[in-house]
Amino acid sequence: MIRLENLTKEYDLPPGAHGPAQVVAADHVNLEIPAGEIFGLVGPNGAGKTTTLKMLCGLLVPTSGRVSVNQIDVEKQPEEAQKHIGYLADFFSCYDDLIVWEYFDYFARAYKMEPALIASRIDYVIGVMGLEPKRHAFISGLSRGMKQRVGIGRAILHDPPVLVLDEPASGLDPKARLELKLLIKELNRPTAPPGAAPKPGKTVFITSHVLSDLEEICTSVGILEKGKLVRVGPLDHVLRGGGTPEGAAGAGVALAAGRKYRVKLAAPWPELAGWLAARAGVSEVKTDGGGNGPPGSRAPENGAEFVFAGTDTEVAALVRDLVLAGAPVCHFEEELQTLEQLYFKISSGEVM
Amino acid sequence: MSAPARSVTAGRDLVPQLFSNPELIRNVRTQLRRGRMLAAAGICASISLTLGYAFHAGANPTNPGVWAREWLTWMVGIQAVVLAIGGGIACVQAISREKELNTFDFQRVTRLTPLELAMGKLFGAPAQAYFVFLCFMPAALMAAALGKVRPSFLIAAYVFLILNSITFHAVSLVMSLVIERAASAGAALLLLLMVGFSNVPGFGIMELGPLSPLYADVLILESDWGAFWRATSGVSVEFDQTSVQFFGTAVPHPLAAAVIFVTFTGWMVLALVRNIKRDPAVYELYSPGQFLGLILYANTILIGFFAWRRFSPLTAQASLLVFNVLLMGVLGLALLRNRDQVRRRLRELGAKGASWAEAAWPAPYLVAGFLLVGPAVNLSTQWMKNAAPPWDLGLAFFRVAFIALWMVRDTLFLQWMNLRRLKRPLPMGMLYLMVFYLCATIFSAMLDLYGAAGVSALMPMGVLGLEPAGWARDAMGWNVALLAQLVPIAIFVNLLHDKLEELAK
Repeated sequence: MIRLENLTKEYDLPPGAHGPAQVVAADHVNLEIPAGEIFGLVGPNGAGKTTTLKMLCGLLVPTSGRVSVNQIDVEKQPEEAQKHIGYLADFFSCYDDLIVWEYFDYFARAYKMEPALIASRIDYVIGVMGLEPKRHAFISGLSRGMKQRVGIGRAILHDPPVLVLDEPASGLDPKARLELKLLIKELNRPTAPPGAAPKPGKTVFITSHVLSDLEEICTSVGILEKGKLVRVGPLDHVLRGGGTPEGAAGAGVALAAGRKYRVKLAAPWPELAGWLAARAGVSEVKTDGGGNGPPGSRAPENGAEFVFAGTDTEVAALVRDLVLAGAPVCHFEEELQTLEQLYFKISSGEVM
Repeated sequence: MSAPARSVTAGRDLVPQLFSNPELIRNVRTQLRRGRMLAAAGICASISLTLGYAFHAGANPTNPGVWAREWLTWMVGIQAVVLAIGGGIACVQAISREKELNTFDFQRVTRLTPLELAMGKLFGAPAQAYFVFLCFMPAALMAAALGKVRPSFLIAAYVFLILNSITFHAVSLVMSLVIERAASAGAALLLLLMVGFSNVPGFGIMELGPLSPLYADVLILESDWGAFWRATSGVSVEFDQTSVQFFGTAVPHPLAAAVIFVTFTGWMVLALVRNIKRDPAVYELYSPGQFLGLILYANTILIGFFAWRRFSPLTAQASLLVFNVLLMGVLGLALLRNRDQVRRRLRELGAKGASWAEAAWPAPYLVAGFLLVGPAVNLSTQWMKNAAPPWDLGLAFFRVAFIALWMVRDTLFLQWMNLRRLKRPLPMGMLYLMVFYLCATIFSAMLDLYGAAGVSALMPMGVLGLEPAGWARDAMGWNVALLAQLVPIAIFVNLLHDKLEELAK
């Protein structure tokens, strides 16, 4: 649905600035996002996220490279491509002199929606964005969060298959943020209206500094660092250390090192550490407690963390064997690093 | 998530359904709220009635109707100022303010075509000015009726005024598109200067009446259409504001002005449509081919209406060249490439992007422009000139070559400045040029050398004072001065080549 090929944007830094004369906001970025994905792009300020989004929408011309949306070249056929895109900028204003419904009416006409559908679509957007009480209010009188809702409403108004959202949660209170997450998930869900052909969910390209939110909603992520995509791929793949620029080989290397698991027991089982250590593919075993603790502390050997290099079937076999060996297993889970942890590791140079 | 059932048009909508351009509708909605309209209408009515009463009170009973005609000229004058200047200022802000508010990007990503967006702004941004213009209309019509003004001139005056205002609005919109943020005050001042300058008949060199909106209050009081179709005698050296001559054929001034307004507006709209949805970093007002077309268009008007009988042939040629210097200067600036554009070309063209031909940009188009304009100006002068000596066709072509190299030299300097990593490279380059010419003028005046061949290599305007006698006296010196201009041109091309190689890395 979205394809970035060798996308590059070079900028000049203001004269007098320290460092190099120019900055590469996007450095040969290659990315392909299939239809129905929620793709999150993360990176520090100045990494090139907004520049990449603007190039995707045809607002900035790349120094080199190509962007296509739904197989339409954004630079060659901007208006055709923009039909498929709903865009929300990070810092934006609305037309303060307009009334909320007039604002949506303007953009519905500007997106050349069917005149007969405009009224019902505006009603839908006003409803879904919780703007009904403000329908006849001037935009100038709205709070920042309400204006943000108006902006998001504008982005989804023409029902585009692709949503490009730059920091959509900025300025929203926690409740509105939660509603936004639900809305994005809802918009991403395929629908099958009665009597009509099934409609695929929207493809969402989103940036946010609230990484926990992204982790909840994204199906794939990219981490941008100084204009380069240093990680990209399905969310769990990236969180397991995959998605390096080297592609599949890099991801394979990272995954071959094994995944981290945690097991909890209902009662102490002294053989746990030994049993795990003896198992093929298991390494880095750390048991809870670790010996005779003070009275009231957790009993030793009632849980452990370990790394296991194996397929999901082999993991299932490990759990089964552990139970058969007599361990009172009450909880078993894979421990994934969070997006935030990975992001900090990358930005601090701990991992590359 | 359920959709509310209320219709979106439940609110009061004062916008007639006639308008379908979304940008026009938006502008009308924001500018013409009921309260604002009532206030504007009230103010206009008060001004109209006060003026009417004042003129009626001071009327001469022996000459009834004169007071009404005076009232009418005031009303039309006010309408002209409101529509042309008030609307123009609104247009100056139309795009620059949207860029400032970060709303312009949202318009750029809609499916509005560039033409729709440009038209929506051209007629929408001055919506309030149009409304105020209409508010003064009842009083103006009443004054016209009481003053027994000929209806055809009433219509002609308003057609002139509206077309003229649309032209100024289009120019203002182009300025709004290209100016940097916070420069709209300067652009508004420039608009005022243009309106003022357009009140000079034929800009001082053409046999054409004023092109200012204020001409409408002169036109409205005319009574004889025949005067507009009669060729001027050729004896008077004064500008005739009724009948004008296009290549020797009598043309009514209002008709000529209307054609000029419509065609010039067309050029402005073309620039808007080409650029309004583009990334501002890669604006290009016209393609090189359109650039040459615009030069030909402007020269057709200039040469066609030129006041040949008022000037000696060499002065006429110099005037035409000065006009073309201004034209080429403005369009040369529009063709300059910035660092972003050069980088893109370098990535697209690879090694070719840093070639010597690329380093000479935009010189080839300036040379092509002068190759078109030079013969046109010289041969027109040869054909249309009056009997006053002196005239030398060879000298005329020498002057064209001299001026052409000058334009190439300075434009290449500005192109080089524009590729330097400065905060405002182009304004800085223009400032350096101004300082250079100011200092050079002072020195040459002090040493009494202005117009000498050697000094003209630095200050080429001196060549426009060169006459056949001076040319015969120092032909060698002038030829050396002509060739000397190639030195800075070579230097700037070399500097530009270095810049391209630097950016290619």
